[in-house]
Amino acid sequence: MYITSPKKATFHLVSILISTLTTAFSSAMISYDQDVSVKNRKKNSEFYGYVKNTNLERTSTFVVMMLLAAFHNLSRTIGTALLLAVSGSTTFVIMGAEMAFYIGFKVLRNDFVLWIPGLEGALMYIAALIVHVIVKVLVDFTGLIHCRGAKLMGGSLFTFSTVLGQILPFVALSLYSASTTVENKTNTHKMNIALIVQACCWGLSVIAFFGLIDSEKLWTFYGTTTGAQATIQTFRSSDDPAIKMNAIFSNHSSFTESIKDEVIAYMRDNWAEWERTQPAWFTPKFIASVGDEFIPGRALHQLNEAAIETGGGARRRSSVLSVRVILGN
Amino acid sequence: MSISQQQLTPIVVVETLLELRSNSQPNNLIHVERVFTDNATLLAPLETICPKIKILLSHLLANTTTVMQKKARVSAGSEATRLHDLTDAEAATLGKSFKKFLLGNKEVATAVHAWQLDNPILEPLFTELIFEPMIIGIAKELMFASTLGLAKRVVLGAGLSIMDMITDIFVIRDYLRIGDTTSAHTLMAMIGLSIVIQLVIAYVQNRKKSKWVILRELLIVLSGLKPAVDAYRVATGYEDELSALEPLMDMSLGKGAELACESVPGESSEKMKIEKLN
Repeated sequence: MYITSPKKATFHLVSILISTLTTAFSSAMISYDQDVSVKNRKKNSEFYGYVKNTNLERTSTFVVMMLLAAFHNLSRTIGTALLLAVSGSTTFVIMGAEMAFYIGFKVLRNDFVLWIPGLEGALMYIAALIVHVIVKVLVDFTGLIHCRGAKLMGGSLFTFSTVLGQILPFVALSLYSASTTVENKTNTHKMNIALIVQACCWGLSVIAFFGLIDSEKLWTFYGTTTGAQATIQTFRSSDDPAIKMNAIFSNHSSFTESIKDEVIAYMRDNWAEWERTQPAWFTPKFIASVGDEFIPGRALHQLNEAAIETGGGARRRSSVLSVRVILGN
Repeated sequence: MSISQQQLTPIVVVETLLELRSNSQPNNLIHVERVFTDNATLLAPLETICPKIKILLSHLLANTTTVMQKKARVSAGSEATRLHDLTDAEAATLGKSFKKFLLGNKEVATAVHAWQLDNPILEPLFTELIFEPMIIGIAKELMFASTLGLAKRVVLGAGLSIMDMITDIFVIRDYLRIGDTTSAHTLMAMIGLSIVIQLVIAYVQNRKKSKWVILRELLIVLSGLKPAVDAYRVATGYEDELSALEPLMDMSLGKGAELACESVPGESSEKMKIEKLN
């Protein structure tokens, strides 16, 4: 057993490094894959695309993202471990307060409900709570860059949380130093130096990261847009009907309730044209996901008649969760 | 169907190009030249833009050597002129470089896009409608054929998943053996929560499909082979109208759940134990 091993210090160090690098790799990989995905870049070019184009830039950015996640993870987990060493209740209070602040912030900004269409009633709030807790954990402990999206954590809150993650271990260390209940304390002076070095490394990684990425995407790290605002913005700013319709029908109906009349008018003006030209996105699956109120009267009548002719009664709207819903953006 | 009728679709061209593909570039070149002659109507525009395209494709199809970070060094001028004046060596460099993008990206379309972005000189070719689907079609086949492609991803994914499961079981057993039931139960809870969330994701992903498909997908999660299956589906561009999510999103979600429920709590717990031991 490693507990009795004379080489436990080295073993522990290696163990920590491997765990940290594994977590950092997974975190960086998720964000990187989502950003370079051709489909995502086509779907939401304003948000995706911070990783630049050349192979060298891409590789460098990925390495820096991994370092960023590793230093962030180290600082946060060391902070949590120190807090746990002081007491479980202290840890619970501090982490609970952070979580409560995050959830409260979302609620106050009317940004708590998830983008996932079809969620209603209690399920809408339960699902939102679970997803927000997971997102908060991922951002706090791995700095998962993808979570800065407006429909997940949001840019400004993401940056605030990651900075807070660097402050936490110092707060935890001071509590640890002051604690009278911890026996055989680790040398706090050495640990303080280690934390400062680590915070500096994190800071350097941040500078390198922002130096490498596309400056046009910097706003995504401090933007204050909510999920609903981002959805409306996408609908209004795009000229592509596929993107407009995706924004409306792959998000929760509450996101676009305020512009419902605008959407109905847009669809009334264009539905006949889509029927005639049959663009690739205008599929039976898409039509099934559209609410009756959005379909012009004549077209709705025809759809209902066609459904009755095939023996299924009036057309049924799909209750399936839309494509591309879970990761947001 | 006669040969002339077959000639006019990019898919048929890709199939023909891949039919006699080998790891030998000279053999590929002979084959590519024949395909270009047989499908002159469709492929002539590509050759007009880039007279060395056959050399480029023959190296790309060989899929054997990657090149270092080195751009094709070409004469000055617009992208169209540079591509038109490409030398044999430059065409070979461009063709050979494709492999590293294929290995470095999870999705075939993303790999092709990365190759295009890294080599702006290729831009005029990508403006021809046939070129991108043709390269994506070739890339899919190369992903299957390459020993470092799909097989590596799936075997590595499966191997690591199974190893992860085995090490978790051993750690739990060791905790129980030394009487540390709290740690054993905590680890079991973390793994359990991660699996439950992954099962929910699998259900949401497949809820429109038959109960047997749902059952199969749930068993894939329980067997610990989900990462391998995800790697396969992402690499092959698996598409299913009835799936709620695209494979890359499905994979990212599973990883996210594993990170939040297993890795992060495990790390904090591990560091606390080490601090206590020290």
